[in-house]
Amino acid sequence: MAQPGPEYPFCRRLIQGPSPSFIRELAASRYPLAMYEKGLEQGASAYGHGGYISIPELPAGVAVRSSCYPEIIDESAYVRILAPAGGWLSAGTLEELAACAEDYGRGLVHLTSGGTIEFYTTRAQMVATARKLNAAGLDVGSTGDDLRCLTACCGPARCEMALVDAPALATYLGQRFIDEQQYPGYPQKVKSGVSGCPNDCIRAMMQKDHSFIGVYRDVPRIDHETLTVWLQKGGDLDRLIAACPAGALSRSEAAAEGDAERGNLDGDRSFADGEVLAINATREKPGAAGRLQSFAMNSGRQAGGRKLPVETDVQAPPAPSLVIDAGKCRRCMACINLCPAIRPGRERGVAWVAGGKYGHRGAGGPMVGYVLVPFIPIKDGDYTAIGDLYGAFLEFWADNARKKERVGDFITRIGPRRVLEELGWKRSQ
Amino acid sequence: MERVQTEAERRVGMTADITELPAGIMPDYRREIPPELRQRQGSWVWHELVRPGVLRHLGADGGELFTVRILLPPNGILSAPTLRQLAHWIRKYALTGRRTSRQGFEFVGVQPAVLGEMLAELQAAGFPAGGTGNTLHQVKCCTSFIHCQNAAIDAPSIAQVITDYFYDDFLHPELPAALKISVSGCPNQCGGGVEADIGIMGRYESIPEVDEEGFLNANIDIGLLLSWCPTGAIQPRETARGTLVTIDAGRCARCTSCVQVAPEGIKLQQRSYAAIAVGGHGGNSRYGSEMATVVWPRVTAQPLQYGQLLERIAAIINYWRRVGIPGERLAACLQRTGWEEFLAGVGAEPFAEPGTGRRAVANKRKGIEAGQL
Repeated sequence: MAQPGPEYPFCRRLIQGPSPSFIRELAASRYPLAMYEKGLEQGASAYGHGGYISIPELPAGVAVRSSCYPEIIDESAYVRILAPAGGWLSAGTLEELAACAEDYGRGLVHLTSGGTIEFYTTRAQMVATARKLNAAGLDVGSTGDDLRCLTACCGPARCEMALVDAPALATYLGQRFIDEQQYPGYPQKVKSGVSGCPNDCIRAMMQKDHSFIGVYRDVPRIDHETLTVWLQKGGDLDRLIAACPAGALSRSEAAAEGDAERGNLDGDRSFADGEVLAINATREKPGAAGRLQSFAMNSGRQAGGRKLPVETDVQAPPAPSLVIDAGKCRRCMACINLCPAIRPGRERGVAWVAGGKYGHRGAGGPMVGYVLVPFIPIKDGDYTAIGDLYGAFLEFWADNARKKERVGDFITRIGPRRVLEELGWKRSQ
Repeated sequence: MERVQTEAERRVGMTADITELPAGIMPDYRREIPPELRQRQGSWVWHELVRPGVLRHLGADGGELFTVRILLPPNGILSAPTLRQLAHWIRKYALTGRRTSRQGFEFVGVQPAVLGEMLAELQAAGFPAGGTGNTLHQVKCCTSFIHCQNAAIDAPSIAQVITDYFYDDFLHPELPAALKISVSGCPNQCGGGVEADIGIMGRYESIPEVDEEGFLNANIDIGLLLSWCPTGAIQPRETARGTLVTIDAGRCARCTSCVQVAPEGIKLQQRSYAAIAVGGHGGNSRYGSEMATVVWPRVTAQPLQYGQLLERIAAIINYWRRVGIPGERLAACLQRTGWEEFLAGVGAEPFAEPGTGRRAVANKRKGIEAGQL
């Protein structure tokens, strides 16, 4: 693999370790390594301000950096590519990107921390690059004061926790609001992310101005057969119970005593929609005896405590078992992450969170977003209502935000309640 | 120049003559996933770690899906040959690939029969599998000196040095829980920092300096400049030569917003350092997402002089190894033990927690260390 020459002493020190080195990648491309070496030597970047630019045919997606060392390079331009949601990249797409970067750029591709893809090119090549990418089914955008590329977690294609199809929702929003990603016209940039479940692996609530987080509203379901197998295989029930941040988990003996405030867990058919665990494919079925049913949960929101007993014919559980106190449960993923016998509830949707940002700019500095609407149901993959709400907010923010005011600072200034009122959001029930 | 009719143009029957508009393509992620994997969407019910870097997802139908996660060079910088190499490995061993949100890479749908062969080939090529479960995960970082003008410190080289130094923790799952380290070159935090267990964040020591000649010569939007300052530290000042600005050092948060608006007239001072923050995490279990807290506000981070950084990161990890309970992320460990014990444990400057009886020393005289009073 390529190595920097002896004229780059700083860079050469960064290829000596055991882990893959970015210097080798830089050296294997036509990136001007002297610029980076200069930066390390001086303790300051060798690049100067350039900025996001708009050129004919490309209002967004292209940018330049000026150079402090014109003898090395005049300026460095780059294009930013809207990435497929969920980070999914097939072999074909990787090869297209490699070819594009070689033919039109410096043979170097950058997977950015914000979820997009960039490569370095020249100002003269920008339009040609974009057209070449278009031919490969990709496009540029997501620079300047516009809607930045929508990102998502990997979603249900690979993950068992996904409550909503996060990449599908991100793609839907990205396609519906494609103009907003390609024509900068907002007061400030606005980033969005979609997470499939409250684990929020992509940190959408913190990094993105808008995030839609997959949530469930009823209580998690417990499959007692799987629980028994899990315990037999060494599952630690005490640790599981201790992991619940709300103290909502307890051994089922407590429930059997008939505490009316304790809700039940699974309906009459655990994982009836085919979610039979394959953890131990050869195990014997212990039969229906292991089922404990005390109450049916209609909804997690029954704060009044009126619950309908539906099942009285209960046989004793064969082993220590679990119950979830519906009143205490926060609908997070703590127990679900630890134990295969607990699965999320069936009533699923997204929480709409707005205002997150990492950066120290803006009055609020780094912020975790406001939960504006805790539950928006999603039925049959229809995301229209979410798109409407999202679009309405963007319009409201664009009309009322101060110049360069991020969504988080805007909501802090006017108050989250006002946002919901202006959008005509009505409390249900 | 010959140009290809775009997908969007074909869709609306646009001729190739009209070229002034962007093509308007938001790529559909579905085309990146082969049908055999898409069909199994939503069938997964559990996953387990087979070995570091290898995940096994289990389906309701008894099926399984192997994922191999590898370490990429810091900052997701990949040359064209490396991209082709990744594509080659996908074609040879897996169904598809994905870049993770931490700038790593995963091969999804690896055939179990070729798993051993694949891991050996990855290892030999210098892209080891790891970074899953109770290990150090891929160190996420921003571009810094590679291609950014705003960086106070160079995040990729710091990430490289951290990954090299703690390489064994990446391969061996011997930490109490997952460890995520993010490095950002400047307060904009494109590379993260507040969200990570350990965040390294570039900081400028002094306030930006107004270059009066440059400021007057450039056509600077004063209104925008004032409105973008988050703390109101910039005030306009009328002079005979034109409008200038003054930056109030007491209010300036060193966020560099003003330099973005007026790069010609406001310059960054080069003296910089790194802050180390501890205990950030995402997710909504426990107390929800929490931001990391700065423990060492000023650590030397001149390029490649990262000894002080590594020392402190090692102190944090060693403390966590000592007192952490299995499965306990750094933030949870801190909350259990308390800051006072943590700071003493890692050798940071201690402070008294409210109610512990000791009184904090107030430093009322600027420029004098508390100990000298």
